Amino acid sequence: MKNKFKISILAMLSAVVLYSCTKYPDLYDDERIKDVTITYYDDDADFTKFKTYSIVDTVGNVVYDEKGDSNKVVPSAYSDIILTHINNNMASLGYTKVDTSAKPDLLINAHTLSIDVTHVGSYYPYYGYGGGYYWGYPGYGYSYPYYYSYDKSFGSVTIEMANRSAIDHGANKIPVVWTALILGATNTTSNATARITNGVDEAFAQSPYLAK
Amino acid sequence: MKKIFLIGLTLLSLSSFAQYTTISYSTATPLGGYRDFVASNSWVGFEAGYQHMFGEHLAVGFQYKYSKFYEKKDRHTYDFTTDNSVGSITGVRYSYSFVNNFNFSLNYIGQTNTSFTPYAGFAIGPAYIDNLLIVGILEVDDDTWAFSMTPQAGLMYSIGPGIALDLKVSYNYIPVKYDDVTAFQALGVAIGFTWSPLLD
Repeated sequence: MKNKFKISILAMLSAVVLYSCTKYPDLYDDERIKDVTITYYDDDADFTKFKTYSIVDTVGNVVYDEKGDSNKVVPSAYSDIILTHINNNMASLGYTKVDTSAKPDLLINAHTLSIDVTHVGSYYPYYGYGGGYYWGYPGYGYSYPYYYSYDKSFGSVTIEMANRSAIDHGANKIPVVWTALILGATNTTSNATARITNGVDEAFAQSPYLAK
Repeated sequence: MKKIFLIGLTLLSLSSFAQYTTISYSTATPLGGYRDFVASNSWVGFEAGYQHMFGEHLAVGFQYKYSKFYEKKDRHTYDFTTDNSVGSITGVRYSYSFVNNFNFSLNYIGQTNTSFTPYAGFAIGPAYIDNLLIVGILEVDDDTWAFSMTPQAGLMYSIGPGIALDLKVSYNYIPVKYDDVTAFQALGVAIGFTWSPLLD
C-alpha cells in the first residue's frame, strides 16, 4: 500500500515535471499576429523643413530569377494599395506630392520582397532597375545614417524616404532619412490587403516626427 | 530534463536513510524591475531536493528548481535606440523566461510534538536563465549563468509513516542584467511531498 501510494505521487509529480519541460507551444493562430512594423529615421534630419515629395509610379516586387540566378523586379500585385496609402498618409502629415522634375525635398520608393535577403538595410540589389520603379538618378546608391539587418524579409513591404536636397553627386549617394519595414504582410494571401494597409498606416502613425 | 527526472527518482529511493527527500510543484511571482520583462505568474514549475541531517536540527543538501514564466502583450509600439539606429517597432509581444536554480541548501528543522515540522533556511548556488522575446516574427534569445540566493521557510505536515505534505515559501534573487533589468526576483510557493524516516 505504501509503495502504491509512493508510486501514485511520483506519477503525479512526473506529469508536472514533464509538462514543465515543454518550451512553448505554437503561438500563432492568426497570420496577422506575425506582422511587425519597424521604422528607422535619421535623428539628425529636420523633417519640418521638408515640404514636397515625389514617389515612384509602380511598387516593384523583388523576386528570384531562376534563369539568371539573380534577383529581378516585377510589378507588385499590391502596388496601387501601397501607393494610395503612402500618399494618403503623406497628405495627412502636410506634405505635397509633386513630379520628380519639380525638385521635391523627398524621394519615396517602395518595394515588396518575395526573397529572403540577409541585409535589408544597406544592401539593395534591385535599385536602378529603371522603368517606373524609381525616380531617376541611375547609378546612384543609397547612404544610411543607421544600420539594420534582418533575415526574414520574405513577404515584406519596404518604404524609404531619401533626402533629394542632400544628394552627394561626387559619391553618387542619396541619403535615406526614413525607412519602414512591414514584415510578413505579404507572406501569404490571407488578409494580405488589410495587413498591408494596416502596416503602412502603422508605419506613419509611429513616426510623429514626420508631421509638419 | 530526463536527467533531472532520473535524479528525482534516485532521490526518492534514498528516502530510507536519515534524510529528507522532497519533490514539489512550484509557482512563482516576478517582483521588482523584472516585471517590466514578464509580469505574469509562473504556473509551470517544480522543485526537487535532498537534505542530510547533521545533528538534531541542521539539514544540509542540494535542491533544483525550475520555473517557466510567460506573458503575451497585445499589439503595441515600442521605441528603441541602439548604438547605430533609432526608431520604433509595433507588434504582438511574447516574453518567456526559463529559470533554473542549482542550489546548495542549509535549513534548520524544528521539532514539535505534533504532526507539524517547521523549517527555515537558505539556498545558494548557480542559476541558468534563458530569456526569449518574440515580437511578431522577430525573436531575441538571451541566456546566461549567474549566482542565486534563496531564503526559504516551510512547514511539513505528516500524513503517514515517513511521508509528509510540504508547503514552502521562498524568495529567489539572481543578480543578472537584461536590458534595463538588474536582477531577477521572484516570490515562490511550492507544495509537494517529503519522504523521511524521521517523519512519524
